[in-house]
Amino acid sequence: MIDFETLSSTLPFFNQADLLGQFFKPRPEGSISLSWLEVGVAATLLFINAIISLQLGLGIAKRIATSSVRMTIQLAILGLVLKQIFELAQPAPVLGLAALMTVIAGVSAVKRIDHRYPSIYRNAIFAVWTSAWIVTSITVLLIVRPQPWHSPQVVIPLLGMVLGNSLTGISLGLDRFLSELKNRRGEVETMLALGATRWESCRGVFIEATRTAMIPILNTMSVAGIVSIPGMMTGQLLAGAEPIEAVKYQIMIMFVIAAAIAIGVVLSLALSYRNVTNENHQIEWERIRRS
Amino acid sequence: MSKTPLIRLRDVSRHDNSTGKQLLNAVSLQVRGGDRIGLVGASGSGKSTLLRAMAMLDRFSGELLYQEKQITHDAIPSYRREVIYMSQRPFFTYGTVEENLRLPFQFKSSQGSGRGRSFQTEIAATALDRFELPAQILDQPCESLSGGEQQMIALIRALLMEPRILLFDEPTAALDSDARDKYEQRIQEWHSESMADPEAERAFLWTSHDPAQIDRMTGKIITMDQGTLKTFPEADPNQQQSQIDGESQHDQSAEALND
Repeated sequence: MIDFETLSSTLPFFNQADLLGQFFKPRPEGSISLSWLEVGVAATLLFINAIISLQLGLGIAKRIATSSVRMTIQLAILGLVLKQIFELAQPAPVLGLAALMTVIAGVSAVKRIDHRYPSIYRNAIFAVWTSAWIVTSITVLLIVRPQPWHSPQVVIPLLGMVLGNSLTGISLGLDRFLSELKNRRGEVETMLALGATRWESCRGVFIEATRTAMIPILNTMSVAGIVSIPGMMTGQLLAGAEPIEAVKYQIMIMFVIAAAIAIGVVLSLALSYRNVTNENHQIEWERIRRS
Repeated sequence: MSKTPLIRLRDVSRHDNSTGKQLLNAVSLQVRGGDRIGLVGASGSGKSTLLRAMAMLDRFSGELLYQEKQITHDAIPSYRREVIYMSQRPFFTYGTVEENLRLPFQFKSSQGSGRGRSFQTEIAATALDRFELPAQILDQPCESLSGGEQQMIALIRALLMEPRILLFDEPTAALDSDARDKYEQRIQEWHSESMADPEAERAFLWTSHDPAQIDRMTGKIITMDQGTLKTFPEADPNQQQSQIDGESQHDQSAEALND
């Protein structure tokens, strides 16, 4: 006869309470600090997916792996950088990091676009920069008003949220604008041939691109609180904030993000429209190339 | 015979930036009221490119004068209303035939009063009737029409705007012979309608790979090869009379007008 009692106490593996006790120590009340092991549990979930992908030959295991590693490294570096900047608490490094994030957002916005024209990177960076910084400045200086104004724990996450959304909008809008212009070339050119100005001929495509770019944020806003609890609010609730406070912040940030997307999209489309048309009311088809 | 040209091209060149190919090479050409010019040449010889340049749809070097005047940037849409490029395949915006026929009149260049400045249902109905198209077609979506009907509607759309010059890029390539005859006849009618008034004379350029059609439709023939004109009917205004004579034995109407 095997004595289960003895066995379980000699082999800690079988003693679940002990195992959990050893690795997953009960946290002090109110703390949400994660250990690296706890992060590892989340990674395991994705690891299982990668195994399934390998078994089924889905061919995305490698991409899951590289994206995971990339994301981990990027966020780890961000953590270290933020730690440094938080400690410094000087405006210059905060603005420097903000500028770097902005440029990267502009470049990433273009990376996902199929059709490009020569100055598209410059335009996308300018559009991201202008929209995100105007909106974030208003949020920081007039709404949140941290002391000092450059408090990195306020500025950096807010800007990050605005940038991430703005870049998605700009990317969708530009992609739609340029591909649709190419697809509807015959229609656009017929309008020009019948006396349309360049704006009259491109207006339809411009509007459609704007609409496409705004759909994700409009969807997010319409299901917020019903289907999903938005990320920022989740974070605040986890950190122990009052639900009403978290909700107020979330509503504010939704407005801010939507405004940043709208400004960024219209700006990037207007610049692109100027770049692919000329004052002779012609479309510069040769400038639009597949990447 | 001192009529000023409607369009004067001087050394118009265009090259494709991506391939470096010379699409048009120093083309000089004049189009006068009453002209019916046939543009012939192999595929890729630059016929469409030349027509597009005349409608100022592409960037080119050289000079284009309309009624002996430079066209300012802002005046280009109005110029294109007068000199309409008809693409080989007709294109429409999403919507019914009527919406498409109305579209050009919503452009800024259609503002102002006068013939061809506003959409008039009766005129549109008459135009449809000439092609034996029923008036109900106005309510049909353009994409539901046959290729031949689309070509007719595209022509009607242009004619309603009362242009001075039409630039046809193989317009009947996709039509059966019956539709082609109607199309040709309508253009000849349009061309001769204004003959009484020398100030309102109309002209057209026509490209085609069908020599018989070029013969039927046009008075002067210009041959293109690798972006250049092989025959220069009016390159030099002083020599134009003899050159026109050489090119246009079968063009009674143009001859009569030139006298």
